[in-house]
Amino acid sequence: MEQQYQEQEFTRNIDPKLWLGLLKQALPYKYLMMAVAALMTFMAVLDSMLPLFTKYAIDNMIIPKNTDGIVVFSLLYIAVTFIGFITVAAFIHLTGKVETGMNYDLRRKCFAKLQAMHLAYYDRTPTGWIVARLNSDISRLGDIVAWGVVDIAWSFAYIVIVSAIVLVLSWKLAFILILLLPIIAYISIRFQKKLLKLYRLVRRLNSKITHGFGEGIHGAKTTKTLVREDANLSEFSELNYEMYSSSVKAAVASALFMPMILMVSSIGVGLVLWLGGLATLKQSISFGALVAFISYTMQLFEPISNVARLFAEMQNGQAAAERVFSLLELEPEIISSVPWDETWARRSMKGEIELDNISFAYKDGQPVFSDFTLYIAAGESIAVVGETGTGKTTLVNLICRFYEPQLGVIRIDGMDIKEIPMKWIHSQLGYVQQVPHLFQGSIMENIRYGRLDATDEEVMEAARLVNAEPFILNLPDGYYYQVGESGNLLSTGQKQLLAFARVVLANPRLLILDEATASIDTETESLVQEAMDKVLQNRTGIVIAHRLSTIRRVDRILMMHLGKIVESGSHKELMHQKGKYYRLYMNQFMQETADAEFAKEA
Amino acid sequence: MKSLRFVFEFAKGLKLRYLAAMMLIIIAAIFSFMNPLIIRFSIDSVLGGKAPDMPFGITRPGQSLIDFLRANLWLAGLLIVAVSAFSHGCTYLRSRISAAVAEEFARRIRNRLYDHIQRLPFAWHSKVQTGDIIQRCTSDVDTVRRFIALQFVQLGRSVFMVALILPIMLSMSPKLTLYSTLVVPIVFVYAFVFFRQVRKRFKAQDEAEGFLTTTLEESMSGIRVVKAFAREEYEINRFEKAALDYRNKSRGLITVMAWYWASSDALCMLQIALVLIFGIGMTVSGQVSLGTLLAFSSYIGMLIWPIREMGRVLTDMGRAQVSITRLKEILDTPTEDVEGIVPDAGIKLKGEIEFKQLSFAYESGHSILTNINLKINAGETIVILGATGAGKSSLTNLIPRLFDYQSGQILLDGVELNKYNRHYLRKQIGIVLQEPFLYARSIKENIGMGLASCHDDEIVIAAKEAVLHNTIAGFEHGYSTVIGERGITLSGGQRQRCAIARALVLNAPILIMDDALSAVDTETEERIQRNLRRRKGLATTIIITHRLSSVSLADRIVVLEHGKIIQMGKHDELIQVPGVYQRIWNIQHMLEEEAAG
Repeated sequence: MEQQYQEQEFTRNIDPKLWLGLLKQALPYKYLMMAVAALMTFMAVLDSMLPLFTKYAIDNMIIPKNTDGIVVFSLLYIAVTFIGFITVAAFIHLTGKVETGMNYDLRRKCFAKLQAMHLAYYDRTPTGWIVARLNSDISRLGDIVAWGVVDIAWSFAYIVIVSAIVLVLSWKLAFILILLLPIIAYISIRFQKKLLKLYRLVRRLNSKITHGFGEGIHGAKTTKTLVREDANLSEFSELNYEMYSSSVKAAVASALFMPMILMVSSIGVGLVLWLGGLATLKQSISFGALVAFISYTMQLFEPISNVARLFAEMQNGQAAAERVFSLLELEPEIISSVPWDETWARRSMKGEIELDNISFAYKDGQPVFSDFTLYIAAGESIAVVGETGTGKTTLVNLICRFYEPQLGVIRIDGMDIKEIPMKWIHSQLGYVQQVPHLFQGSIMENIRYGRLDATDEEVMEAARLVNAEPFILNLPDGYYYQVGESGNLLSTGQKQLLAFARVVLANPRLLILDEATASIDTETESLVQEAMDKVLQNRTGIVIAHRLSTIRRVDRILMMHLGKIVESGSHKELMHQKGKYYRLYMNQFMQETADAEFAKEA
Repeated sequence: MKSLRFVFEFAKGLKLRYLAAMMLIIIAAIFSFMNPLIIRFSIDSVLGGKAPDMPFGITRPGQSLIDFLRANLWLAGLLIVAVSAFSHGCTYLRSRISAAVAEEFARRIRNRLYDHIQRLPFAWHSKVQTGDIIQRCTSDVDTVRRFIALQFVQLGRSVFMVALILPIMLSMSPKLTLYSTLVVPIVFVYAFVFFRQVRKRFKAQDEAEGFLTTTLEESMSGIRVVKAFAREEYEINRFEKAALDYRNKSRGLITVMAWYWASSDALCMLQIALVLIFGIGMTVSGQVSLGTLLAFSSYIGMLIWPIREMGRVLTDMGRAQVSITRLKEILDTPTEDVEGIVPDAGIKLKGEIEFKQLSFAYESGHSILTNINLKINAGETIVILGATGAGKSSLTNLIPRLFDYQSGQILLDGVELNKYNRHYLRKQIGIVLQEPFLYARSIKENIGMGLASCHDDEIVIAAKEAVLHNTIAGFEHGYSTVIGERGITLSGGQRQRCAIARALVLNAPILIMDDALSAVDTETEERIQRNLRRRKGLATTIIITHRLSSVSLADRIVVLEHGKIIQMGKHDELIQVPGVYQRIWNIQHMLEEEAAG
């Protein structure tokens, strides 16, 4: 799925401003990059010198039949090889340092930016999209910048030095090389562009194929019951054939590239052999020079196709750069106008909450609340009930300041929520989600997330309080059991208990509980219930409730319907009204009773 | 050997082409070896005036020819171009063919895998890990493809190169051949050993990257927790630590690679230096000609770089073998049989289902259903109640033969269920699963999916019955809205309703709903039930639920517990007899009184 976001078409020309911006990101590595450029220039000198060794050997030793100086010659040659060895090791090492360093910096910056973003941003941006930006896009940029320096420095220096050498050796023959340059450049650029396009298509199809397999496997049961096997296969085969033909097309094009380039070089070699040969016959150049010319001609394509590839990659990477910059330039919409300082750190929330004439819509024209008013006294516990889509979660979103109302004021402890540092609200707040979210790592770490400076003993105490300890101790490493990605090695109920322990440890003044609807086994459920009771004591609590046992425990019940509180009061009062709450309760009660009865029988 | 058989199995009709590719490698290699010989001849004899010594006893060209060539030196140049054209042309053809063969090969494997996976019994699907299977179908196939398209060809090329160059070199100068190949085996072994050793580091880097990705993903998907606990800074630290670890591992790897590339480069250069240095001595002492020395220099350049690559290719080959084993594991699993009775097209199933002393256990031996005796009449509506794990879903999985039962009988219209052709059977059943799967296609296609062809009207009617029509009408593209595209997702309840419409449109003699309304809100549920009530009698209907609200639809109610039927009968009967059912309904009265009082 990620691929879909990644593979947008961008066929514009290279935008220098964008790449300059990217180079700015590489500023901390400017000395390293200069060193790499210097090394590559040096490397080009070495590379272009080697044919001269052969030339010297032919003209000064082989033809005159004279082995004087062969020792020095050999030592020099080996010395060049050795220096080359050091240079190569050094430049790869340094370039790797620039590349990985840049990637690291960019990732860090983007991540910090993301953490500052308000929740609405996450609601409209898929996680996969963000992950692709921070993984592949950033890697690609680091790669282009760091190795781009290598390619450009070496290629440029090599072409300049070789041009100078051949001009000195014979300016007439040098014309052959200079003639070949643009031809090779033209072919290289054409091909690289075409190849990138073709391979992009292959990648896109490949992600479709992956998706196809995923659908085939995830949907196996449905496919079987609908007897869709043949229809699915024929659809998949079509896609597969498309993949085949575009892969072959790309492979054929890339198969043509090197032979074409080498063909052009060998035309050059043929010309050099002919014209250079004539020149040696006329003694206007030496044998050695002829041989050197031939090797220069054969190697000429390398720097050019390197640069062509770099430009093609830059063109392709431009979209990545744009997307990464779009991340870096994000502006959070919800920010605290009051800075966080020590006085706030010492201040404890009373937990009085007031929503005053709130109007809110996620999307224009689809209001969730209009003129919504609600007062929750400090220490009061509230249950919010109602069908899905009536604004229960939105209420939580607003109180937590995950979202901001378009109209109206929200006050906590009598202060406008906008005039309180967000960190303070969140540090006084406990929130347990419907689907508990854990992080990879140990149970200990996951509970400690609630209060980072808690001791092991405090963590265990919190676990004990919510009845989580028995199951924890049954796990292989107890508190040090690794819960896996997103806690997936634990059951939903177990995750729920840990989420409670986490919030108990945080000891918040305001607790918001989004009760799980997912059925967890009865035994765990009663543990969760008990834990919830303890958690709700001595603080303001707002529970989005699904279970009767929870509903009956709170001070006040709010029955919501279509963004309005339609009924409000104690359980008893609402039952007497025989309205919406009564119906919901009867339904729910019957259901829960049935579940319990069935479970009891079982 | 088994991997070889695997490769041959998919290679029908491709072998000849692949062989042609191999032949082209040889031809290309031969042509590319001619260039240095042409240059050698040109320099030694045409330009240098030496008597030519031809390898392999080719007749020496006469002096007159050499004089002619000297006068027309362009011919030598042209010859080089011509030979190159042949060599590069062959290389191009070879790459083309081997790529086409490999892609065709991959295409066949992918089709086979897809087909096979779809036909594997559902028991297989319920126990495998999807991610792992997808990985096999994509990256393992790609590993095999690369092996065929590139690695094997590269290997073949290197072998042919050595086999062809050595005789040419030996024929020119055995002594210089020895000097030219001194370092070659070292380069090969060095590369081979290095890449084997460095695999661990690659793996460590991959793992660090995986950890970084997970950290990132978790932080994004858990952003509410992060924000609610004000843990932004903590998350930043955690991410930076992971990113730093990945950076350091990458750097470590690059440094190792830097030393490797530099040193193996140096080794190769050393070999080239050896040829030149010893060659100079031998040329000066007249043992070889200048042209020969130059030819050797060219040959060693052609030889040593592919040899170095071979070390890497060989370590990669092990991976292809592993991939083949992983693919074979899937393809060797037997598919479900589709033999069995298919009644004539004219005969419609009545839909009478009878369970007789039926017991069922999964492969693991865990017993699910024991001694089920239940006769469901054609057109009857049965509601099955029971706690999670009571065996309700297993019971329904048996009817479309997603699993096969081991003991007892299920009779459909009086015929043993296991005797029916699976596909025929499934077409007679409209089934709604608890977690319905929708395809990434338009809503219309999703609803009409079970039918070969189906009219738009029928789809709209089914959607209306499933109380989905108004929701769909609210979408910008209505019934053509593609699910999963541009962030269009359906809620759990909407997905269930879509699946209900998909089952209703079939008008099949049997309808099974497996907890199909669990995510639908009460109001909508009531409306769907009203619609279902209108259809009563049209199909034998089995409704599995743990929701009491569904019992109003039932002709008869079955209470399942621990895989056994503990109560069965009409609602009015069941509330008269002591048992779970009665207890539940009694509580309602109490409740109503409580509210009134």
